[in-house]
This record gives sequence, structure tokens and C-alpha cells, in this order.
Amino acid sequence: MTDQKPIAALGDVTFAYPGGVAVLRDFSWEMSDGESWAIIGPSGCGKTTLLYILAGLRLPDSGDVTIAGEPISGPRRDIGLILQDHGLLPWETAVNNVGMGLRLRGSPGREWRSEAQSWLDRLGLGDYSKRFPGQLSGGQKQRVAIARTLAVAPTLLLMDEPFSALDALTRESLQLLALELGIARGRSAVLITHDINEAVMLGNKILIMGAGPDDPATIIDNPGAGRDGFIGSDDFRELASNVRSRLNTNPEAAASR
Amino acid sequence: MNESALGRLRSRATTLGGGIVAVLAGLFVWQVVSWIVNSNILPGPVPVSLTFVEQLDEGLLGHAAVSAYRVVLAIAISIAIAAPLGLILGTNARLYTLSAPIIYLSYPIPKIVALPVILLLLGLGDASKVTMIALILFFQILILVRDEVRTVRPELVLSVRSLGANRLQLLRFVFMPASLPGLFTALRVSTGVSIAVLFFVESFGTRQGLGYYILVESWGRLAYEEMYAGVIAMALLGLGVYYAVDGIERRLTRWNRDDR
Repeated sequence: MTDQKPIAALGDVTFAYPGGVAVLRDFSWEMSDGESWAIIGPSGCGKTTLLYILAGLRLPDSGDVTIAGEPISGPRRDIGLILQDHGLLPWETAVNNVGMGLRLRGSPGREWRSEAQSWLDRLGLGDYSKRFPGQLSGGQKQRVAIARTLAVAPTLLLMDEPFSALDALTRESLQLLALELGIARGRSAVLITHDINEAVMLGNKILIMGAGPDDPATIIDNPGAGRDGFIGSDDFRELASNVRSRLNTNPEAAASR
Repeated sequence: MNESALGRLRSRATTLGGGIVAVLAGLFVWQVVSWIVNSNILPGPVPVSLTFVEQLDEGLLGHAAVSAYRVVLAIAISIAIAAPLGLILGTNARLYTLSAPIIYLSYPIPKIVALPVILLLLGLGDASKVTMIALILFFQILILVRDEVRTVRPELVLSVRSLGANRLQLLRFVFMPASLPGLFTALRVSTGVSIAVLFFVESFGTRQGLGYYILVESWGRLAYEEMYAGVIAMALLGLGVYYAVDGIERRLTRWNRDDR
């Protein structure tokens, strides 16, 4: 199903925010091309930091970070990032927001506009292209953010709790959309979440991080993710309770949801 | 969509209606006071309006054009210098810290006290007049643009950087549009002051402009009707600048009017 070339790797990475204690210490991890990883852990465990390091937005204090075999030195154009707070530009219309990555790459106006419009169409927002983010609902904004990221055809997709600010129904429809877009089905992706069901639904591999930089992390294989009929099945529930119990072994590490 | 367009039309009609009522009320009060005073130092609105129209042809329009040129040039220069500087100070933490005390200390100084220096340096001509007005606008724009830029949420910057934006592109797509509401607020609050200063600096060293027309050509000759015509022209100039700023803001910050 997947070839084994590592698309992202961390070797002995240590990271601390200025003046603070280490968030990650000697952290090593590797993911293969085509895998979808769900990373779950308590607040403050460093999962968002980990994602920012992969995105090239933060550089580690020590250790190696490689993307597709190359050491990372800053944001890369083959990496797409989706944030919890959609990060859409309030002064750009939906279609201009979706086309932003292509515009930054110097794509001519006609090209990026039609590409952006086709992504909006695909995500069910074709009629909203002239709206500003302030005129869209939370779920629509997150769809626009997803379209914006996918429009630049990233080879690795990074998502930081992309659905956690949404109401339950919208969240569910976007989780299904993520499956449709290839998450857990061969698209290389890293999903940060604190929702156990979301992790089990969208991660071929689930990385459970400890509360502190010295607590060990656990990896759970989840071969069922992405298969039809997996969601809500006995296997699904069993794996979810497995994840839950591992999170609960450290009472500090209990997920908030 | 249609309903909101209708609503906008209705609110515009209400504003227009309110404006007409205010103008009529002002004219009424003017007329009554003029009857009470009953002297040539306060002619009523009718003779003044007639003089206004008549004077337009006899040079008033030219004076108004020169005044408009001075104030618009001053606005353009102050934007051209203060807005980029505000962007730089707002996006660079070190420069912000370095400059903050200087700006904090110089902001409350009434800039008009710099007039003698400006006159000595630039002479009595247009350069000093325009510089004086631009200096007043400069600080307003600098501070409001700088502070508006600093309120940009880090998520916006991160997400656009992750799409591959370099520093220049961040300025162009994130910080510059984010600063526009601050820029327009600065212009709107300082329109009144800039017209006032224009009036003052046009009272010397020139034979053109509404300030000269009102103070030297009319008041100095005891031509009261002409003087009031000049005052009306000055008021219209202020109103015109204010509405122009407002109109451009509406066009450029459409996104900011709806609930975010």
C-alpha cells in the first residue's frame, strides 16, 4: 500500500521556547510516504510544536529534521499546513484566499483563479467564492482553508486540530471530507488532535505523546483507518478504548475530550 | 443579498435625509441670528449664497483649487512616508522598542510649534505650508498604522508563511491590508485639524488659497459677504476631503464592514 521511503524524520530533536523549559527532548520519529499519522496527547505536550517544526516554522535547538531526505531550514512549498484557527485573510474573498498559495508562487491571475474556483466547487463552496471569511460559517471557513492548502498540491499535509473549533455535526462532515481527500488513504499527512475518535478515524498510525518531554511516546498501528465500514465497527471501538487507556495511564495526560 | 442592498439604500437615504435636515436647521439659525444682529458683519444666508456663486467665477474657485491641492498633496506625502514607516515599526519588534519612546514623547507636542523652524528651512512658499500639514498627519498615520499592524493574529502570518510567502509578500498580502483601517481612521480624525492648519498657514506668504481669500482679501477689506462665502468654501473643502477619505475607505475595506 505504501512504499517505505521516509517523507519526514526527526532525529534527537530538542526544542524549548525562549526562556522556557524544553517541550521536546531528544525526540526521534519517522514517517513513511503515504502514511497518515494522528498525534494525540495532553495540552502542552509539544504536539503543536512538533507540527511547527515539521512545517519549518520553528527550528529545533538541536537534532535533525529532514523532509523528503533534505534537512529543513524554513517553510517548504511541498508542505501544506492547516491550522485550527483557519488563518484565512479577512480582506481576501474565498477565491482569493484559496488562490493565495498559487499567487505567492507567481501563477498568472487567470490560472490561479480558475484553479481556486475548481477547489471551491469540489469542496461544495462554489457559490461562496466572492464572500469574505467574515461572511462564512466556521465550517465553511475551514473548508476554504483546506482548499487553500490543497490547491498548492502539497506532498505532506500538516493539520493542527483542524476541526476542534467546530460544532459536532460540522466536525463530522469535515472528518469525512478528510477521508475523501485521501487522509488515511494514501495521502501523507500528520494530524494533531485531542479527539480520540478523530485520531482513530484518520490515523493509520497513532502517536500518543506523554505529558512532558521525558515521558515516553507510544505508537499504535491502525491498519483499519480509511477502510469503508471501519468507523463505528468493533475494531474501531476497541482501538479507541486502547488509545484512551494509554492516555489515562498518566492522569495528567487525560485528553480533554 | 437583495435585502441587504435595500437596507444599505435605506440607511443611506436616512443619512442623506438627516444631512438635509441639519443643513436646513443651520441655515434657519443663521438667518434668525442675522435678523437679530441686524448688521453688515453678519449677512444672512441668502445674500451670502448669492455672493458665493458670484465669487466662484471671480477667483474663489481658483483659491479653493489651490487649497485643495495643498491639503491633498500633504495627505499624499504623509501617507507615502508614514504608512511604510508604520508597517516597518509594527512588524519589527526591535525597531518598535527603539522608536516607541521617541514617538511617545513627540506625539503630544503640538506640531504647529514647529512652524517657525519649517518657515526658516523651507521659506514662505508652498513647501512649508504643505510640510506643516503633512507633519501633523504624519504622526497620526504612523501610530495608527503601527498599532493596527501589531494586532494581526500570529495564525495569519504563520498560515501565509507556510504557503511560501517571503517577507515582502507578507507585507503586501498581510500587513498592508491589515493596516488600512488604521490608516483611514488616522485620516478621518485628522482631516479637521489639517484644514484648520491650512487656513492658518494660508494667511501669510501667499496670494492664493482660501485662507488668504478669507483673511486678507475679504476680512481685511471689510467685505463681509465675500468673507462668509470663503468660509463656506472652506467648509465644503473639509467636507469634500472627509467624504473622499470615507468613500475610498469603503471601497478598499469592504471586508471590514461585515461582521467578522
